[in-house]
Amino acid sequence: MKSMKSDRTPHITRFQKYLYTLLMTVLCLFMVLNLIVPDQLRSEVENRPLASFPAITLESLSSGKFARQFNDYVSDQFLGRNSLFHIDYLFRKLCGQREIDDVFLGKNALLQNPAQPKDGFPNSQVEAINAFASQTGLPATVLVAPSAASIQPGKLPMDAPVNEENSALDAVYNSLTTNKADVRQSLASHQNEYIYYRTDHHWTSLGAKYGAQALLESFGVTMNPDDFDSLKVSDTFEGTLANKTGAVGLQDDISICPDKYQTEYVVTWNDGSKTASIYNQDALKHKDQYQVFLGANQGLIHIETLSNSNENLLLFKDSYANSMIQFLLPYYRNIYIVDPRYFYEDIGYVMAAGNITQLAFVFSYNNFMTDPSLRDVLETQIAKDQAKAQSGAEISAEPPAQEQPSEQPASSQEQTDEKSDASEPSQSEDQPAQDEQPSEGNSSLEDTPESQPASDPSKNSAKSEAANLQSQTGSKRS
Amino acid sequence: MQLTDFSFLFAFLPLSYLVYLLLVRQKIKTSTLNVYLLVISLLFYAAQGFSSLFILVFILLWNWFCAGAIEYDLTQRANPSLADGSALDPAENMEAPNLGSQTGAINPAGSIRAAKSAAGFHALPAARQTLWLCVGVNLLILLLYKYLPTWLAPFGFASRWISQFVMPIGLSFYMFSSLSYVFDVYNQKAKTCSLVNFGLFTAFFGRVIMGPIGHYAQFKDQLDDHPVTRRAKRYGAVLFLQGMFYKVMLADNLALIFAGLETNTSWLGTWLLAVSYTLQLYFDFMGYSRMARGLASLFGFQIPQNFDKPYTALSIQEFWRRWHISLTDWFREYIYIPLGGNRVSQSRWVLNLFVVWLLTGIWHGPTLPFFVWGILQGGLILAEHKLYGNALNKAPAWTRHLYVMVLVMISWTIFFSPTIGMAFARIGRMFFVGIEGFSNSQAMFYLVHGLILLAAAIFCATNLPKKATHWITVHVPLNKGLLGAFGYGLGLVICLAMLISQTSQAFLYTAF
Repeated sequence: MKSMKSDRTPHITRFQKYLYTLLMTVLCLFMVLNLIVPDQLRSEVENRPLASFPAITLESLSSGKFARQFNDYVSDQFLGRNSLFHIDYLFRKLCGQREIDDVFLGKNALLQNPAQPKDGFPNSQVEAINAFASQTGLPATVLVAPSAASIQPGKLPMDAPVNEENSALDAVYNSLTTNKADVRQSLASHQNEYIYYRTDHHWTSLGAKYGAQALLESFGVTMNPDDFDSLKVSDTFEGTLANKTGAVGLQDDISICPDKYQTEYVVTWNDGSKTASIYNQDALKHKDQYQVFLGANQGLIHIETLSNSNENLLLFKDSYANSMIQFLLPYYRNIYIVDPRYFYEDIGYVMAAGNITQLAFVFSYNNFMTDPSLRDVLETQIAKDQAKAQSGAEISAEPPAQEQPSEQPASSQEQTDEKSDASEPSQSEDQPAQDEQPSEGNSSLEDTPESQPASDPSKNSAKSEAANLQSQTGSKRS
Repeated sequence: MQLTDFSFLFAFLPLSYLVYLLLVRQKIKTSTLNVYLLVISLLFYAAQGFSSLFILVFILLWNWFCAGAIEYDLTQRANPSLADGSALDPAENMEAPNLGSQTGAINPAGSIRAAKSAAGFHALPAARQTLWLCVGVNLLILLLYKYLPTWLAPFGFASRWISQFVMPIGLSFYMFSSLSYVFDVYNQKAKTCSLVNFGLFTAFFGRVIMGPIGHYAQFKDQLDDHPVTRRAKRYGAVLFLQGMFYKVMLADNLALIFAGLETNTSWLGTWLLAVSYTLQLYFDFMGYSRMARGLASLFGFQIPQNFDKPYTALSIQEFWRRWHISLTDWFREYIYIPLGGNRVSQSRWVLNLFVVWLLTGIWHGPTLPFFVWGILQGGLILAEHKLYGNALNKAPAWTRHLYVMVLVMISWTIFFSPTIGMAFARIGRMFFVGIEGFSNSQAMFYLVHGLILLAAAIFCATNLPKKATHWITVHVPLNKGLLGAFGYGLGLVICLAMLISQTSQAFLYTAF
């Protein structure tokens, strides 16, 4: 150590006496702790896999990629990461900030700023829906669920600069040649009710009920809201917006709404497994309790009911529709639920095998305006059908299973390739990470009816067809 | 790697510092410590990628080599008996300090002379030829990486060719530091030093990315003696923490207001945009500079301050004596004074002034707004000298302060606008031309909910924090050391929370 004689350092104040000790203790302590504490594979709060120690290669070192990945690794695995999110939220709120990462910190609620539609994208989405509906000749309805920020402006902070969504929605509805289930009016008239979660970007079961009512009305069916019970299954739900902002002190209730007639049904999940309930009780033990409705997002789900209806619905949807399905069960014999973000198979086969009689498209505003997955699925099918028609091939009325086996792999591959090129689903709040497995062994919240459809011999043929369908389409998220 | 990256804070810094303290404790000599510091600095910079590191190393070697040759040429000139070319071998010339022992069998003067011959520099004295060649190569690199990609963007083939030259981070800063060494050797204000010391002076990891730009003649003594005293360590920690607070708590949050108002066309929104950028730029750059000075102090170096409360200035001239001091000093020392400074005719002085400010503008960026911004600064300084300087000096302080802040905000509006058209449109809106109303909900949202942040930033931009600290020292009967540790500790936790909750926004000045 050199003598103090050559010290050119200015004097420090008495306040600053211990700061060197403080700084070095914090830096060294956390460096050691981060080394000792085992790495976490996944963050439930952020709904994504956490970075692991990056591979050291000459390429990664020379390109600077290693340093970036190492920084991701250190910050992802940082001890107390989730607690720091909360501290950040509290400090920002204390400082008067009312917007964090496109989420408004409203009055006792968090509200996501609606996305800005991509240039020209909604038009192509609408054109694809119009063309698909016209090609199938089936009655079709589009429901775009508006965001909480536009329906409940009273909950927004003062003068919040919300992206306007009504004009874009008007343009969409005006361009559609299908039925429209414009729920804005209906939801706005109930804006003081608990129709959107305070901590999540989804609507509640009540909001979904109003949505289902409008959807069914468009098909000429009158839904009686009193036909559904409301059972609270959680009061500790902290949704995606709470996770995104690190909010503290806000929690939501989750209610499920089984119908009073106890319509029996069997659900065939994307992986081919079956349950007698659409509710996933296990989800209530985890962070994303919204998955109680229909579990994690999956490419294709088939629900076969014992209702008196003869209608078979093909529903294209995102996670907004998950809480709406419970209200549709009594009104359909079969519901085929396709989430285009995770669907890589042949929609034509689903149409034929399911003997579809109605089409519905239920999406949140953000996904409808920005996510190309639906458009890509529909356009692929339209192109396929047009190619068939041009080649003069007669569209067979026979069960497609006879022609499918030889065609399926190629078409599946083709569609998969197209999606990987054009429409890799973007990671958003309601999308599980790519490595996420579909939930298996979904357990019912309610007692399974004694004569549950799965054990009903009269359903065997339908079930085997459904199982066949599932095995043909397969699980895309292996 | 940025100074606010978690990999820097919780891996690189503690690890490299603990090893350094261990070496110091072993009473390792300073030259060896410098080797260690240079190695970790190069490792730090290598995180950007090897291509960036290659440019840095090339500039280090080239400028060190040229400075050696310049010193050799100067020695030759001072001693005509050695003017014969046969005497140019440094091994035979004991008057050539340092160089011979550092370059071994290499004869830099001979190599440089060959290069100069190819470049046709015969009419100039040898040292000046070398200087021009040295500066020319540096400027060529700067042109290639910083300016041509923008200037050639409209031209298809050239644009594609030039786009492969991605500017290494901090190029303008470390290049200017290394040129300071060359100029100081040329001006005989300093002698050449070892490659290690020169590399450490230029590429020390604290300042390689965003300065402060080094002034070799002022810094050289520290390279031979930089004791890590208790006071230096404490001072370093203080500066580092303060810099982090300014950067993370103020600058990054002001950036959110700026981003939210970029498209606002109301009068209030436009002014708020200018205010938020004015404060953001200051705290971003000042915060980084302070962190860099803090790091330097931890390793025993003292780097002079780069900002001295510039927004308290009462004239534009004073503002530029307080803002980015290392750059202003560099241009004054190495451009303005060699051009004759103000000891020339009036017309030549005006020319000198505008040359310096045009270069300052160009240094910041290749687009027209930077040129206009630079010329505007020169024009304002000229106007203060020739038009209203006396009147300004007699005006009340608040008027002078208002004058400075309005002009500074107008200047920054030109500075941050992507095109000159957008800049003039914004300035027009500041004076009610082309506005879509006095205010709108967006402007009000950011004003109301950013009020605490803006107030805190304005408070910190003045001398009030110092006065407040003094007041607390006198009036609060608590253990000051513990109080300070608690306050700074809380600030550190909040900074870490904010950093981990967002992708840390890049320091603004890395773009320059």
